[in-house]
Formats: sequence, structure tokens, C-alpha cells
Amino acid sequence: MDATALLESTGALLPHLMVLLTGLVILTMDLFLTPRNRYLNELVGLAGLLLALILTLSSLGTPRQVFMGMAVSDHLSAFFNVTFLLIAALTILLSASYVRRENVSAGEYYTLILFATTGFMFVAAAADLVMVFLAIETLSIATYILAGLLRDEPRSQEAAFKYFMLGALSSAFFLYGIATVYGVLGNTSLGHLAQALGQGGMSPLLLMGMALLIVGLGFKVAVVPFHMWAPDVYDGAPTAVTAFMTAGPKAAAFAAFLRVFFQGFATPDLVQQWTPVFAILAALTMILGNFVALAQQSLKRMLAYSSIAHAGYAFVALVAHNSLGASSLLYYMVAYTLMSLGAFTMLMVVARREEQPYAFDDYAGLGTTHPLLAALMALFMFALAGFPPTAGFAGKFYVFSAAVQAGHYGLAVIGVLTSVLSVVYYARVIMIMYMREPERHQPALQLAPTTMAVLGITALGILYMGIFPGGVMQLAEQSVALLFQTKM
Amino acid sequence: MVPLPLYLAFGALLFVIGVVGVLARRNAIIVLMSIELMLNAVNLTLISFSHYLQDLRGQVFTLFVIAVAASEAAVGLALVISLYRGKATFNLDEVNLLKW
Amino acid sequence: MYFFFFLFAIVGVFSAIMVITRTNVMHAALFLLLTFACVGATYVLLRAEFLAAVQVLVYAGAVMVLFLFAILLVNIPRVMQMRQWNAQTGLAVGVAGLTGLWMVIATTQTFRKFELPAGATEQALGTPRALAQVLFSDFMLPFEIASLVLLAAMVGAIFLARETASEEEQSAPDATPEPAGRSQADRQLV
Repeated sequence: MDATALLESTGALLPHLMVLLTGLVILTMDLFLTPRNRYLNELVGLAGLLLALILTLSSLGTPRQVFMGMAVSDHLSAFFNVTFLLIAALTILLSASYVRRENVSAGEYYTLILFATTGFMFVAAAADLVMVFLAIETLSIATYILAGLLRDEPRSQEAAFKYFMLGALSSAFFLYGIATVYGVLGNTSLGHLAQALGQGGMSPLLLMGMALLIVGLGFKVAVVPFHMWAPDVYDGAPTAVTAFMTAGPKAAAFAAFLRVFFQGFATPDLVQQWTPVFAILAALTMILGNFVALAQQSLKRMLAYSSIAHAGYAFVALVAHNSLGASSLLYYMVAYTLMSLGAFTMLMVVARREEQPYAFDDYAGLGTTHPLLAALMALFMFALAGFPPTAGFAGKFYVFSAAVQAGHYGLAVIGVLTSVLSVVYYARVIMIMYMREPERHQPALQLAPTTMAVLGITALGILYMGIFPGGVMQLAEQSVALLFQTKM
Repeated sequence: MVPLPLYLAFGALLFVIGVVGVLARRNAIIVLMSIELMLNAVNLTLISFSHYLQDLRGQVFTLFVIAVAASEAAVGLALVISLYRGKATFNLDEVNLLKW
Repeated sequence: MYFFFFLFAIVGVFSAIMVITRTNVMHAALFLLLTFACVGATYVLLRAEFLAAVQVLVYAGAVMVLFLFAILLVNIPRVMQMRQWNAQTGLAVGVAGLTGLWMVIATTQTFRKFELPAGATEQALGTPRALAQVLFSDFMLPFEIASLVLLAAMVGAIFLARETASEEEQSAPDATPEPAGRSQADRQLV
């Protein structure tokens, strides 16, 4: 690779580099910060993310492959990049007060968040299974450590270890899948998988490789039956980290699914093989996630199972192997990010301190004591349940429409029925807030401006996307168009 | 010369033994060792394919896997030490504040 | 050739089984070392000499030393008396056995046609020069990302394993206190 190609390639990946650089700057700055100017962490972080956003938008051009076919810069990666940058920015905002409250060492925390975000972005830009693997490892390792952020809190350490154990297991499965695919097809480049297949690669060994890849990625997304780690890890991890984990790694894993299965294993006979598997996984996830959420006594755990259920809905979009399906997946990712971050921020606010068990009783009478907060929480619950005019409704509508369009009526029916079921446990929160008397006399909650910003942005985003879904959907459709072009 | 399936079977056996170790043992450090076993199995598979395809990319990928495996070992052991510090045990059954 | 392969394979599988079945963690660590050595030797059979060297350096050298340090740091006698296998052992063995069987079958179904070109075993494939040519051209980006993985792991491992704030207080109780008024105000905002 000569110098011009190198410069071009680096230019295409500048947003990723910007995020990485910001992380490094924060890590170094941490050596010199005093408690008085700790706000610089958040400031530098947000500034870096903003720069990365500008770089992403300004480098939108013709889709191109960079670094000898290892990465791509196209509309799909740009869409995901913006989503990931949004997740990172919202996480930084909501962590600002959390970090001070729980006395966490902020430098490493923000650095790891930014490293994880870099990992997310590289997953979306990957054009080769090697890159997918390395990017997933980056984000995974950063997230394992983030889960164990509260070093004095045994639940946090336990969550981190469980997450690490099952995460490393899933990485090994994913790797074995890559090794097998490499063996059968002689190539790990996603663009060439389809070509290599034409020369007689279809065999039990290839199917085994694909199955292993599905197992590996399935763990990351927490679909049933690879979901066992998620409730415990989401429950034990610090709430700000849980908010990040439900949004970022999930979206990144779905990006990986899109790249690997829609760009890689995209020939019709292969699609026939993996679509039924995905359908079964989606159905199981929707059913189990929603049913078990009903029984939860802790709001944090309930949201954890709801996160599993939502991954199931998003999976339906994958099963519907068409343009509406893929673009609805993108839309759903953005919508779910907003809903989830908003809900977990509310959790963080109402709980006041980390050791609370997140019982539903915390919310009793919130309608009278803090009407605005209660209204916001109600909005988040409605959105998660899928009521119009929220983004949650629009997302589910598009996903199920895609399923119907592709002929998967059964999945759409299961999706609708389980969504109706989910209203029960979301409504429970709303009822407790408005129909019960406040329990003990507690001082009024005072929100930091950053927290208010997060709640405001997520709430407005949910309403905007719900009332005017066309804007985001159009962008999503543009982004996925390249997945359905005829192969070169 | 030794046919490819034998090498692959060796790798598959190591992988499967590692899976049993991860899922069934209670000692956190042994679980970590089992994960290293699985990653070694993957490496062996990659290099076998690399040899039979006469293609170096398998070996190069193995280098990356080794790097990642080493970093996972470091993080995993740091987590074990952190767990131990809090509870003075690395028996995973006592690590049960969160229900399985 | 067959002799060496079966030697390394059988010893390797045997020591892997020992790793997961030993009660004494130190014994398990030593068997793991033996497994790494056997796998490394198999790499030599597959003409990946450089990788065999890396295997010994990194796995047997760095990773095993890390494990041994950790074991010595946290080793407590009562670990030996606890129950070693959890409740899902039977299920795990069953699932793993089926998976392994499936893997072996899938492998043999496909590769009957795989023959090496003549004389391939005598040629060196994994020389450092050849590896470097591929690594630093085609795989330049993964190479850089791998360094990011290592950095993240390093930051994290140091963060997780160093003294916690409470331990610091115990050992140095008169560290500079923060001005009381400011920390109060900090903590009330959510």
C-alpha cells in the first residue's frame, strides 16, 4: 500500500481515530486534573465526539473500501457511527452526576467508554471477519471492565466476572466459526465470501461455521438461548454502565449481523439456511423476554429482560431479509437507544444511590412529588411498550410490516401479542407512580443540568421519531440500499 | 503425511474440553484456563487450514488471536483478583449475589 | 510424521483433560503449560515455525507466568476442600460431547478432497519474512486495532487490580481531605 492509499484510508477512518484520540487525551489529562476541574473530562469527551460527528458527516461520499479491503466507509457505517456517537454523548452526559455521586475514577471511566465506542464504530465499518472479531473484542474488553467499575461493590465485580466469562466463551465460539469459514472458503473478506461460495463451498462444514458465528454473535445480542448472562450482568453493573451496555454493544452486534449475514452470507441458498434459525431465535426471545419480565420485582431487572425482548423484536427485522427489514432495524436501534438511555437515567435519578434495590416502591407517588419526572418516566414506559405517537410504536410497526412483507406472518403475530403482553409490566410502573401515595418523606430530587439534558434529548427524540418517522427512515433506507445491490 | 481431518479433530477435541471446563468447573481460575484452551484450539484449527490451503492469512490471524487471548487473560485475572479482594474466595458458587 | 503428530496430539488432549479435572490449581496450571507446548510442537509440524516460537514466548512465557502469579497471590488452602464441579456438569459434558462429535463429522465430510501439493511439507511457509509481508500490508488495520485491544486491556487490568479507595484510606488515613462544603454540594445533585 503506497502513501496516497494510506492517507486516503486513514482519512476515511478519521471519525474512529477522533474518538480514540479523545479517549487517549482524557486518559492523559486524568493525571493532571484536580477535583475542581474534573468537568474537563466531560467537556473534552463531548468536544471530541462532536468533532467525530462533523468528520463523519463531511466524509460521506462514494462508498469505498480502505486498508486493503479490511474496512469500508459507506452510508451504512456512517449511519451507525452517528448512532454510536449519540450513545456515547448521552452516556457521558448522564454519567457526569453519577461519577461524582458514586466517587468513581472518572478518567478511566470515560476513556473506556470512548474505547468501547471506537470498537462499535469499527464493527460498523468492518469488511472482513478479522476486523469484526477485533472490533468486537475491543468493545467487549472495555465493557467487561466498565461492568466492574464499582470496585467496592461486590455485585458489580460479580457482574463483571460473569460477563467476562460468557463473553470470552462467545468470542471463542465466534473465532472457531471464523476459522471454519476460512478453511472452507479460503478467505475471510466479507465481500468475497459470496464469490468463493460459487466455487462449491456449500458443505456441512460451512454450515457448522455459520452456526458457530450465530452462537458467538447471539451471545453479544443476548437472544434466547444465549441470554443467560444478561439479566444478572445488567442488574449488577453500575446503572450508568448498564444504560450504555443496553444501547451500544447491542447496536454494534446488530451491525455485525448486518455486515456478516447480509453482505457476507448473502447468496440465496445460504440465506435459506440461516433465516429459519433467526426466526426461531427471534420468536423464543420475544416470548421468553416478555414473560419473565412480568415476574420481576426489581425495576432494573425488569428493564434488563425488556432489553432482551427488544432484541427479539429487532431480530425479526433481520429475518425479513428485505430493504424494509434492514432499514427498520436501523430505525429500531436509534429508537431503542433513546428509550433505554432515558429509562435507565430515570432509574439512576430516582434511586439516588447505587445500593438501592431498585424496587418498584421507589416510584410510589412520583406523580405527586415530581410530576415532570413522572411524566417523563411514563413517556419512556409508553415508548418501550410501543404506544403511538412514540418512536417505540413506529419502530415495531416498521419491523412487523417488514416481516409481513417477507411472508413471516407467524413472527409478526408473536411480536404483536408479546408487545401487548409487555404493556402489563410497563403499565405497572405508571400505575405505581400515579395511583399510590408517596411512601416516605424524602427531600426533593434536584437534577444536575447534564441529567436534565439527557432526559430532555431522549424524550424529545422519542416524540420526534414517533411523530415524524419519515426522516430517520429515509436515512436508514439510503444506508441499507447498498446491502441489496447486485453483487459485483 | 497427516491428513487434515486429524489436525482438525485434535483442535475440536481441545475446544470441546475447554467448553466443558468453562461451563462445569467452579474455580474461577480453572475457568480462565479453559478459555485459553479454547483459544488455543482455534489457533490450531487456523494454522491447520493455513497449511492445507498454503495461504499465510490463517497464520497472521493466529497472531491476532494470540494477542487478544493474552489480553483477555490479563483482564480475567484482574477480575478474579478484584473478586477475591471483596470476598476472599474464588469459588464461583459463592459468587451468587446475582441469581443465575 | 504420523508418530510425532500422534505423540503431540495424545499428550495434548490428555493434559487438557487434566487441566479441567485437577483439584489443585497449580497442577492444572502446569498441565496447561504442557498443553501449550504440545500445541506449539504441532505448529512446527505444520511448518509454522515462527508461530510456534510466538506460542512458547507468549503463552508459555507471559500468560502462564501471569496465571502463576495470580494463583500464588490468591491461593488459599480452603479452596482445595470446596466442591469442584457445579450442578450443570452433566449437561455441559453432554452438550460438549455432541458438539465435538458434530465438529468431527462435519470436518471429515468435507475434506476428503483436500490434498497438499507435492513437496509442500518440505517448503517453509511461515517464515518471519513472509508473515511480515502479509501482516504489514494486507493486515495493517487489524494490526493497529489489535494494539487498541491491548491498550484497553492494560488500562482495565490496572484499573481493576490496583488498591481501592477504601484500602488506601486504611493504609494512609490522613490523606488530604477535600473541602467539606464543595463535596456536599456535589453529592446532592442526581
